[in-house]
Amino acid sequence: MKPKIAIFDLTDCEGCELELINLREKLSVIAGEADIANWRFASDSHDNGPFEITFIEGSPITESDIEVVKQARAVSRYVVSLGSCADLGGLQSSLKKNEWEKGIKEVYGDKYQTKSKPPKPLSYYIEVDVHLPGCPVNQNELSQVLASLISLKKPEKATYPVCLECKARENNCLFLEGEGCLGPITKGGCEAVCPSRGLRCWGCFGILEGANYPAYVKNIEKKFGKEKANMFLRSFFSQEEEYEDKG
Amino acid sequence: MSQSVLNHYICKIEGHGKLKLDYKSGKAKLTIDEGERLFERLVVGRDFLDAPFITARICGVCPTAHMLSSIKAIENAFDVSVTPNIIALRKAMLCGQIIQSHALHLYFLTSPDYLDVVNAIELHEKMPHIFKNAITLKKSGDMVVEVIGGRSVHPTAPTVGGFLSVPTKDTLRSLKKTLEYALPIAMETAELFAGFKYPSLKRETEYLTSVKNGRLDYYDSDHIVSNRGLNTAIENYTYAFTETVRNGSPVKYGSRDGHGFMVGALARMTLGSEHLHPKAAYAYHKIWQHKFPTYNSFHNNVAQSIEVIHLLEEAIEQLANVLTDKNDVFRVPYRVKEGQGYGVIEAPRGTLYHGIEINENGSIKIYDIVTPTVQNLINLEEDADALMKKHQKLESDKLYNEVEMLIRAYDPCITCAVH
Repeated sequence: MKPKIAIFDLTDCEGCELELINLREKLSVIAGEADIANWRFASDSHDNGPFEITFIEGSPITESDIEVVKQARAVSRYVVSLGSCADLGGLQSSLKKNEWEKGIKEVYGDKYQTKSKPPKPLSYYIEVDVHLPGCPVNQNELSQVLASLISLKKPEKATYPVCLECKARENNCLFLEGEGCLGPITKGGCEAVCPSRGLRCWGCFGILEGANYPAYVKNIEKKFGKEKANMFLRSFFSQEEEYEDKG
Repeated sequence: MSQSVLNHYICKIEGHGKLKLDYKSGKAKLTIDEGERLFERLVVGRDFLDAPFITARICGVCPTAHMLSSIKAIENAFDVSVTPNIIALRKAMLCGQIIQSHALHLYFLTSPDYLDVVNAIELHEKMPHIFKNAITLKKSGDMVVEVIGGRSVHPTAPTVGGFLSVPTKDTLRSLKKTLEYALPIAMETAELFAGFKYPSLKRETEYLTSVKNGRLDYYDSDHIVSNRGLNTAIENYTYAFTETVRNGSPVKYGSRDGHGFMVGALARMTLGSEHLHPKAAYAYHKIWQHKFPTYNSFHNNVAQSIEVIHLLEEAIEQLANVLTDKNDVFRVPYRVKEGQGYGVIEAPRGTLYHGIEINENGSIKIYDIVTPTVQNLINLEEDADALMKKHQKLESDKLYNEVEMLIRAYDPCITCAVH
């Protein structure tokens, strides 16, 4: 029997799902090898599981987001966090709790009552089997992960920083040129897509395990001052507790 | 349909909405179930250069539109004027953006309603020619954004003052060929969508679009016009309508004098059909053969398919402009200063506004975004009510299906609307 795949999206921009559609011809190959059983964004199929592979995109914010995450986990063999919002919390989680609460009042007015909670990564609520960060995810990494999961193998994690891929593409080093590029401490897998066009790395793949985080922070604090350095560091992995742990 | 939380949203639209129909009163209710993302707040206190990067992430389907609006707003605040070659590349990119979004919407979200398939991937086996067209058309738009912008979802290269880097002229020449190759496919797409049997609906609507000297100019407009005589300078755009908050709903609702109005492809093809490029004009007059406004919002799909042709022709023209321009510098210097600015462009779903206020040190003080879907929501509700009234004799699940199709025809982007 073909393995069943489900793709759920929570509060987010849907860009990572779009990268799935952007696999184009490959997508029809996947559809031949697996059964896409539940994908609201692109299909009318309404399977409730169980699923062998479940992609979840976006961060849980609303009550139903959180409910979807828990129910999906309960009926899935492998849960994949699809993109930075699911994996790290994403840009939308870069505000601290008090800033987030204040922001709701500023944008919607004093009388507005929200039913949401500050954005968190999936791993705050459930166990995640495969981490696929990126804003958006890298298409090659995405198709590799899909290929190994369809044969029910857990894919390998990247163990090198963005710098390695950046050097392989023979780019000028933006960090040495004085920019707050997060390449040295960020997990690779993106093929250095931003620095290759001259944009500093924003760290959307999250911090690489074993990176010398304290030394990097010291360096950019010296260069840009504490406040600006902090802005660079908390774009995609906002969770205050995580950030402070690492610092 | 099962009640599980794993499938209670309207499928094949961008974002999360639930539909409830009250068959007795003939009212349709679309509830938005999306968390507040607070993008307008996220950028406050950050460096102005962060705004295009961050606001692009409002939407994975139309990041280029947000990015360019944001860049325009900042350049407006700093009084920067960029060179014609930069404008031409940006215009080509915006064409690519709208083509990729329309191709996604037409083939992957809408066509299953009319081709009797569960999803567009099924077309690969059942109607391989249509699947191939879908992929090729989508790819042509993706390629423009990827080649010029660095990546098709969330571009990397555009920045304030121009581009961080640009492709070689050879690469641009081959991009131009890709678009020329896509033109006949866009014509076939218009034939396909002009030939679908759309549900009947007629309700007089006010259509709004931005224009320059009375013509469509997606990137660089100076006025907002409507078919009911609105004609106001672009800087007064946000005064043309009211945005209201409904408690518990994370989106705002735009209206004019208490009624809905519509922006997007149908509005643009209604107000700008006189100056279409030749192939698009052919599709409008000879393939579609009706005259906009038809006041049937389902025809937004037809308008999108004609617009794709127009934008392919426009992108080809803009690339030709870049290729003949002797200026090889794609970045102009500017001075950071205190100021306010706005950037208005035509995004895939309609007129998009970004407004910014910047401190003297370059940090962002205030940010304001008005998205197309916010402007379309009340009109969508009014249309849905009219559809329910007109088709009240239909069986309830058929009527439900039709209202869902209407929502899809609008191509709402709830993701954008929430921002």
